[in-house]
Amino acid sequence: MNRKNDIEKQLSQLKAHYKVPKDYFNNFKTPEFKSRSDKKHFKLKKSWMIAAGFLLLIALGLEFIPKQNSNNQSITNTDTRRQISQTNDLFNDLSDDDIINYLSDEDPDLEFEL
Amino acid sequence: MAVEPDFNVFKKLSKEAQINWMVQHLNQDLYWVIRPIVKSHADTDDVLQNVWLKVYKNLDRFQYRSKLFSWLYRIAVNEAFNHVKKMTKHKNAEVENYMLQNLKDDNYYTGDDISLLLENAILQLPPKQQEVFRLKYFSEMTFEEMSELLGTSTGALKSSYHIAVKKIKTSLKQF
Repeated sequence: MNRKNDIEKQLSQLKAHYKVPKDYFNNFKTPEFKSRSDKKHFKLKKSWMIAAGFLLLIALGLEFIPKQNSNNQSITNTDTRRQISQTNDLFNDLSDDDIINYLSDEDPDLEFEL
Repeated sequence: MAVEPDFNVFKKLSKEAQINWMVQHLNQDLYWVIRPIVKSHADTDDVLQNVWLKVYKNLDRFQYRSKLFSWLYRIAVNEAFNHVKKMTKHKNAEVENYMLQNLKDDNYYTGDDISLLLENAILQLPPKQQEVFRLKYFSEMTFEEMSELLGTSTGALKSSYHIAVKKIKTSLKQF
């Protein structure tokens, strides 16, 4: 019984060995909490940035998506330029009459004034 | 037992005012919940800061169905054990060894070898019995107050305490 009381006495002194710096509780400062309005502002800013990012990605995507011609073949700007250039070369070698004849064959109702 | 606010008044306060009230009235009680778990003052200070951050983040979720201190107590105990788990994993040490070493290394601990033996004996107890010890000797609660906090009958708590004292006695006989 005495031994048990001894132990309980020692147990009751356990806390006394744990010291706390002087004025710790008086000077205790909580961490700085971010107010909800700050958070909202940040969230709003973040969502605008995400939206802008998406728009940029869409714009870039549109620029690089290959365009389709009537035969469902992909055409790029480079292809178009090459086709125009080839057509121009072809017409350069023809006389005016040849052109009129050629186009008239394509559409007989067309009238030309040269 | 820790003081409790009048919920009718407390509910109407701003979040910042609620935190201020809690820090003013319950900070010391929470400190003594954490310190016997993590042992050193420096670690206790770290954990206490985290506890207040968690409280701030989750205050909207407090339902006012339990006592405020019961809610804070759970947060503090979880944070303290998470800290110990993290530190023991980081240092690759056994929980009991880490806690005892942390106590020995603490500049704010003045216990002698016999006190350390006692601390070691308590650390060997099952978690529930350790909790009863912490609440009795560090939070200075009665069995009735513990019963309210833990939702366990006073009879079960008293029995748990007496079994624990017996175990400590046996453990100390070896020295």
